[in-house]
Amino acid sequence: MSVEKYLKPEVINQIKRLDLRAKFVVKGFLQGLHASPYHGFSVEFSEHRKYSYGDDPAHIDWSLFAKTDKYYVKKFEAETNISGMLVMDSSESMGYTYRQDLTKFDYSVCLAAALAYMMISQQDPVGLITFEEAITSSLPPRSKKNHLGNLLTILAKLKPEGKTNLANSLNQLAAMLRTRTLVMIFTDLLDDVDVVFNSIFQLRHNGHDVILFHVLDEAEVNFPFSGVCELEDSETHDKLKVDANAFRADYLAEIKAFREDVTRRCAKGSVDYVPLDTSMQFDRALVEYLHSRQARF
Amino acid sequence: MAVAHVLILGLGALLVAVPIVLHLLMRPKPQVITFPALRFVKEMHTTNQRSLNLRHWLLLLLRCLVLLALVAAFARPSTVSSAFGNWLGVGLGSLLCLLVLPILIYALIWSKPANYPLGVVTAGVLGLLAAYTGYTFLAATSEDSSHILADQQAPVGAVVLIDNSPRLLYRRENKTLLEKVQEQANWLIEQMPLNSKVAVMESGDEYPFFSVDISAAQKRMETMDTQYTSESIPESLEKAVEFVADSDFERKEVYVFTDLSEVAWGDSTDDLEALLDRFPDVALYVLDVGVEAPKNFSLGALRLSASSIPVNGELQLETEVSARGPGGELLLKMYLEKPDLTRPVRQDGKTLVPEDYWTRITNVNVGDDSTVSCKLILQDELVEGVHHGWVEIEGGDSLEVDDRRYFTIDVRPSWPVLIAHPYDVAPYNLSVALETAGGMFNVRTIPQDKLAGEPLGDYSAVFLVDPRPISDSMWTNILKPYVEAGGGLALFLGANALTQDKQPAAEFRSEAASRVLPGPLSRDWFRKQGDRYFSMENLSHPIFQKFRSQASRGIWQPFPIYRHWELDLDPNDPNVQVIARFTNGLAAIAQRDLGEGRVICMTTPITEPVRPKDRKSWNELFNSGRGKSVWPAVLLVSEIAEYLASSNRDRVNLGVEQSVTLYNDVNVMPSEYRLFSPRDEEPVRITSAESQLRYKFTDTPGIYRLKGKFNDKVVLRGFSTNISPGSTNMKRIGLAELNETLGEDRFQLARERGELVQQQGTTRLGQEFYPVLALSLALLLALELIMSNRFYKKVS
Repeated sequence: MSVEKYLKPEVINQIKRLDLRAKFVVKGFLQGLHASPYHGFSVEFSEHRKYSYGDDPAHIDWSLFAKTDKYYVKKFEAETNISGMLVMDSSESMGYTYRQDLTKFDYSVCLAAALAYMMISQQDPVGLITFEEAITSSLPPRSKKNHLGNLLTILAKLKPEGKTNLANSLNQLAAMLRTRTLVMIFTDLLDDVDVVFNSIFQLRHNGHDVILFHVLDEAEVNFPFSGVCELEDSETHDKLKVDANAFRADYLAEIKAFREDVTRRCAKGSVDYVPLDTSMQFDRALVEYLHSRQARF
Repeated sequence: MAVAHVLILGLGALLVAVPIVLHLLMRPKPQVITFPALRFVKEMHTTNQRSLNLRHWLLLLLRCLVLLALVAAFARPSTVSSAFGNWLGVGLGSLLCLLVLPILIYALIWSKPANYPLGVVTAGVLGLLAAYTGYTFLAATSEDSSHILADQQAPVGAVVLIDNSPRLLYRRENKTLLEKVQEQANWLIEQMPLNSKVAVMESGDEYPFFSVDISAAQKRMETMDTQYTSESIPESLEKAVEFVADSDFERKEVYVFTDLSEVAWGDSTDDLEALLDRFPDVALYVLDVGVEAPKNFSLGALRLSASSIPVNGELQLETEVSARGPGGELLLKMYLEKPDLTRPVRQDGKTLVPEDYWTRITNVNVGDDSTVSCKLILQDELVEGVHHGWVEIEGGDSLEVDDRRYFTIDVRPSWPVLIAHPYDVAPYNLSVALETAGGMFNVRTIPQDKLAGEPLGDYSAVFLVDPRPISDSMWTNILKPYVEAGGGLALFLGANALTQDKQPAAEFRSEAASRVLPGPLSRDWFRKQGDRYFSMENLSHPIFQKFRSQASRGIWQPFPIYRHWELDLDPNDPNVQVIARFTNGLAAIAQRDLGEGRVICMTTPITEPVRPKDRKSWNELFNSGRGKSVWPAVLLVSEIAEYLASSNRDRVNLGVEQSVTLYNDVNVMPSEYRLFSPRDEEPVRITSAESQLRYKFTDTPGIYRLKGKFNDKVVLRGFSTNISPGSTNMKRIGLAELNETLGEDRFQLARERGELVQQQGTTRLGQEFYPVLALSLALLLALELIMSNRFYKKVS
């Protein structure tokens, strides 16, 4: 059975264990890559290339030389020098979905887990930070296999509760990070965007790479309501009565403008921006990660 | 504009409050949906909320309109047809105004400045709509007349005018048209609303009057019979409209049952149209009961050679047979009863009449829609007495009343006529002319100087041919008493009235002569050119009855008058009349009525020789030279003789409803008769008064027989009546002519009951808005449904 189906949120929702979810997502993704335009960009460990002048002789695979009498360089060894930090927004708004199988938070957790799995599989150290008003827990980047277990345990226990202060948390994170780190932020950005971006720019300023996974619920993107309905903010509990049909076009324009604004800001700060919604397959986020990773070499 | 159920309208107004209350108090709660991205919503919320509110109000408006339409439909408003369109315009205009108004308010008050042009445009549209609505409202109210009553059961004042002419005896589907009319009219009267009054009027009635109640009207309808002489429908209609317009009923209706024949509707005047315009509240229904393509043969008027015929004389009878629709070959039969002194008699409730006839049959071939003449002759068989008879089309057809025509003739011995002439005048031409006139006259000729010794009372007529001067005593003692006693005197004045010095003889100018002659002789006129004749103008006198049928107007031209007398006529004398003139305008024949008799004076001699000795001829009336036929002169003297001899001749062939007067000398005739009418009733007694029998109830065509006794001897007399030949002409008028008579759109034309009911409804209630309102209701409901679904759609 193809594992590619595990890239679909509604399928992955049927698997309860997060480690298995991550495994399936990554395997599905990698299997899909063979037929994808990203072929040749693979991160298979078995891949060697011929030694050429200028390569560091320390990277020559001597055991292969013993077998073939030719110089091959092990490519991956030269690439495993990036550490990642997953930043999860666990605010209450992240626990929302209107009609999808996964909430924004579940989706983000799956994605984070998949990325962590993939990174640790590539010997890349990966850590985790969760926060609400301030950082609630953190796990420093490690690349050991058992680290993945710890990481997934924390992720699995996380619950979207309380109010968010993403900016503050990112500021704290910036202070914590010593080495150059790939910061992967999972958030719905339903906060003061100016302040958040100030913090993101601060991270960038400190030399960190940032991928912003902007996860919105499918209903927040498409506004599927009709007729007169009363909308309630899950965090502030404000209520508003609207005529959804008349309102939809304006709302879609508004959300598009919001995303474009975020895109513009990200471009300005050289932040990778990945707009997602909970109905999308996970591979989009993974590809984005790989793009980002490749860009660093 | 009228409303059938006002109460519903009032309740409906209250019902409209329901959606408003529901809207304000019980608005359905929308579904609550958690939505974290509310901040994006908040930014646009204000605009959206306004539009939402506007739509809610629009929905409320729609719901109110639905209720209003429902209530209005149940209230069943209606109006006159002419105002219907305008009222629709008012309704549509108001609806559009109501729909445009919220848009205008939205555009002007709540919308963004960018939408202000929309506001201006909407305001313009609203203004135009309001102006249109106002205009149509004014037009509608001005056209809406007050006679529409919402309640179809309101009492009606109605006149049911029935054309009961003989044409309605046309049989179709084994029923006469009149029977069908009676059925329909009965049904019509039956379905009149409670407390209605109905006047049943026949087309000949003087005035209509309301029957006591509906059943009395129906009774009148059931007993209605054909009327053989009737007024034209427009005339009767005028009376009916005036009568019903005067009544106190709010709803006034006139129903005319007619076959729409040209005869009945032909004499239309503008008065009727003006009258109908004057009383617009009188609703007029024309119920066409006629036959579109009738098939009918009809007999024209009978023309008898004479109504008084000598024994063994000849009866000539001419008539026309007309076909309406397809023609064909048919048998025309004449019956003439043989006198039977035992008849008529009543036996077992029936009148028995003579059953022996002389008959004559002829074949007639009539083309489609055409007329042919035919002639029947009965000769040498007639015996003395009054004879009745009829001519009929054998076999009959759908309309039998015009297939038979009746006649009465008097067969009597020849009239004794005396011709007196001076010795130098040969009356040969005259006596031959009279003797050959069908054996009607028994002529005796004597010299003028023997006149005094002759018993004039034995003669029906005395002819004085070119007389010499007559003494005053002769005038006064012989001629005048003879005429006054009922004798007929004819004088043909000529050369013998001249004196030696060419002047009129004093004896013809004396007072005694003037009392007998139409006037004294004044002078003589001479014209040798030969271009003076009898004029054929104004031939109304019975003498010229047979000349009228002559097609040629120049029959007298071959017979010039060279010389004639002029009579000094008193134009103020009522007993004197000029009955023929010469082409120079002077009197040729004049008449004086004297007592019971008549004097006829011709101012030129009748027996003038062509070349008299010592003088010139006065005329060429009897000049048969050069192959000329002198028939005009022969006919003229024969007619004069007949006219004078039968001065007491009765008119025994009449039209229906003409009153009859018969001469009855009680010295030689019965003073009382029993009259057997063709209605097969018990005979009525009529008695002689002033030597006359008078009877006026001749309303049925047929033979009216008189039976009396004089000195134990049965005397049979009688007369016949016939319907007017044109009265059964079934040629119909078209809608255009009817429009012209009654005015366009002023009446409702119906053939069937259903049509009538529909038109009654339309006229009584006007045109109903119900269908339009029902349609509007459906549309509004659909709109309301779409809109409310859109607002309160359940989220799946």
